[in-house]
Amino acid sequence: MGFDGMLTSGKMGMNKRKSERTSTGTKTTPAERNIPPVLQIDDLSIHTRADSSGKRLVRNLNLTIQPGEMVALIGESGSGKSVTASAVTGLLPAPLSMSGGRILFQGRDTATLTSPERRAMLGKEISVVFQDYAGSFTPFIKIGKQLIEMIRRHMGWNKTTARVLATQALEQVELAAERVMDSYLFQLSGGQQQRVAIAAALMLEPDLLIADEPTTALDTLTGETILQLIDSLRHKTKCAVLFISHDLHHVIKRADRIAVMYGGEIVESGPTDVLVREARHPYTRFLLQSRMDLADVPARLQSIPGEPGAVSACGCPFALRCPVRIARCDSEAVPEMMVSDGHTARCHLIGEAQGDLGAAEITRTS
Amino acid sequence: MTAQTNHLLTVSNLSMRYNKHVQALSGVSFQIGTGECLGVVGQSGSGKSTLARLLLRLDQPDEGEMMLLGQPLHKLKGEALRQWRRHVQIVFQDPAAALNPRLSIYQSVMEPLNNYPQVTPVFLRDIRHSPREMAERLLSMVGLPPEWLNRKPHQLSGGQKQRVAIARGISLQPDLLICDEPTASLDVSVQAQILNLLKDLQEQLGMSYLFISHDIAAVRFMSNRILVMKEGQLVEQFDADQLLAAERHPYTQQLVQAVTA
Ligand SMILES: Nc1ncnc2c1ncn2[C@@H]1O[C@H](COP(=O)(O)OP(=O)(O)OP(=O)(O)O)[C@@H](O)[C@H]1O
Ligand code: SF4
Ligand SMILES: [Mg+2]
Repeated sequence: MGFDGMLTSGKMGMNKRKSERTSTGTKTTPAERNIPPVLQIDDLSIHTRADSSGKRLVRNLNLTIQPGEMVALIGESGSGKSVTASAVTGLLPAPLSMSGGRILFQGRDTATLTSPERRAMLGKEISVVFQDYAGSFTPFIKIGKQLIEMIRRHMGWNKTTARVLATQALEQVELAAERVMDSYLFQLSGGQQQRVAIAAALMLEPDLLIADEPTTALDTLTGETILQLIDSLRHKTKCAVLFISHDLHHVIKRADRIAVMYGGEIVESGPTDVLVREARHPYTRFLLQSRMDLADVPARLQSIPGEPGAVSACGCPFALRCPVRIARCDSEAVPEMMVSDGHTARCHLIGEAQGDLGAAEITRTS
Repeated sequence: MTAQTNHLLTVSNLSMRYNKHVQALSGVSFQIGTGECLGVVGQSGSGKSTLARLLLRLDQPDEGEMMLLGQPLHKLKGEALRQWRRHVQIVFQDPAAALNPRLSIYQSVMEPLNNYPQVTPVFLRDIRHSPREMAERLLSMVGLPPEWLNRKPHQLSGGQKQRVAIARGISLQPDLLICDEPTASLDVSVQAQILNLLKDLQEQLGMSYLFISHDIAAVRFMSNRILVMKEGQLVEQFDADQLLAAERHPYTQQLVQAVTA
């Protein structure tokens, strides 16, 4: 997918449109103010074939993101995070297809969009930053030229104005704008390249940013800076963010809400602090337990039992690995159940004491 | 580690530049004790992998000394170097790249032992005559079913490939195993399994480790001592349990803060 296709277009008076929308000065939530969510995914299912005869990759997934909100999607490799993101952009790679549910972007069902409308939406309101940032650029054209071209194409501005915006965008991500504009991609470090990708994704003020593992290829400090940047820009421009990551630490630090995926399902979701305190799904609890604490280092690390990626074909997808599984977990699908306001989970034992997940054998060095 | 520890490796004043502009390593000195794990933490470009390349003698230092078991590693040549190479093995970040896709797991695991027919690790002594049995034992040491010897790398997950790479890495019972970001490309829960495995093997076999990572939590978990690098220089080194001590260098504190909520 080309760089250009994923870019957004916006207005030069950058923050104006967004601030009008949200500066109510009161503490009401967007929902209470009747502002539609930027993104609303209802009951989404994705199969490897159009007629749902193939393998099911995503099952009955629900997710909403409000303006300015950052929602994290976490889960192990292959759990369906990126496929879900592709469905939102309407760019599911063939032969994958949506076999159920709907995706509303700014209140509009994306399935009803014509191809030109979809391209316009992608060009205008949704932008994506991938882990593989380098793939979004053309290697043999200077970065400045690429950014300017992109602004001109989407907004029809003259070169001079476009150059001003491109410069601002690069400065916003703390790059030496002049130098970077005059560079080819390969002349920049990985962290710099990722910043350019983020500058490009945010420069035209999208309503939704999908950041798919934006820091995985970067080292800790660079990754931290990139996330800080996304975080501050979304507060400033009220851009909604779908933050895909397998790094729980980053997610807890940044996201307003977390949705945990396993085997194509959101097995638990809720406000970040609630989830951290009161996780109900065994998989979420394992993930939380696997965080390393620098002050208290165990002799052995907790790991999740079973084979990573093992998904039960019927019943609960986590059943093959779950130490507290009961008989019906293997056969009965688990509906999404409400734990508390805004906190849902899919586990047959939701209301019951699950007890220890088997962490007892962990011994401490000190 | 106490002062009496006999040092396996003593590195003094090591410097290396790739070209006029890139001073990859400048004046780095440290020691690794027998059975010790020295963690090296630093950001990309800080010189961690250059250090590994020098210790493997894939590159030659411009200045400085590397004494391994009293031998000047930096001066060795030809057959002498080849003989010493087996004392230092490495596990790389990307297990997919480390294994030849055309070779079976059996061939990959056995390659080092075939290259050094006179080497007999303690844990293979009773079966040195039987390649098949040695390969099976190596696999079981890294927690893989021996039946998988006939598989090809593409039939294994990332974590399983990394286990194969570790089996190779320990197969000559090296004195020093260099782990260069061994879990960076793996899922969190798989990372934990691989780190546990590396730690168990170190205890069982009494190897020393140079454990390189930008993940300070993983370094803290694995290491007895930690060395912090920045732009080719040693920022500081300290006992691992002193990572959170107030006297830590501001740069180290920055690394810690980035992973603390
Ligand atoms: N083009 C495709 N054809 C068939 N199956 C696919 C395709 N793309 C993805 N899948 C499958 O869909 C499932 C979900 O994949 P997805 O890429 O969404 O995982 P992910 O959660 O993003 O993982 P990671 O953390 O590794 O990026 C996996 O089983 C994957 O193998
Ligand atoms: S539904 Fe059953 S198998 Fe699934 S997580 Fe809950 S207890 Fe475990
Ligand atoms: Mg993905």
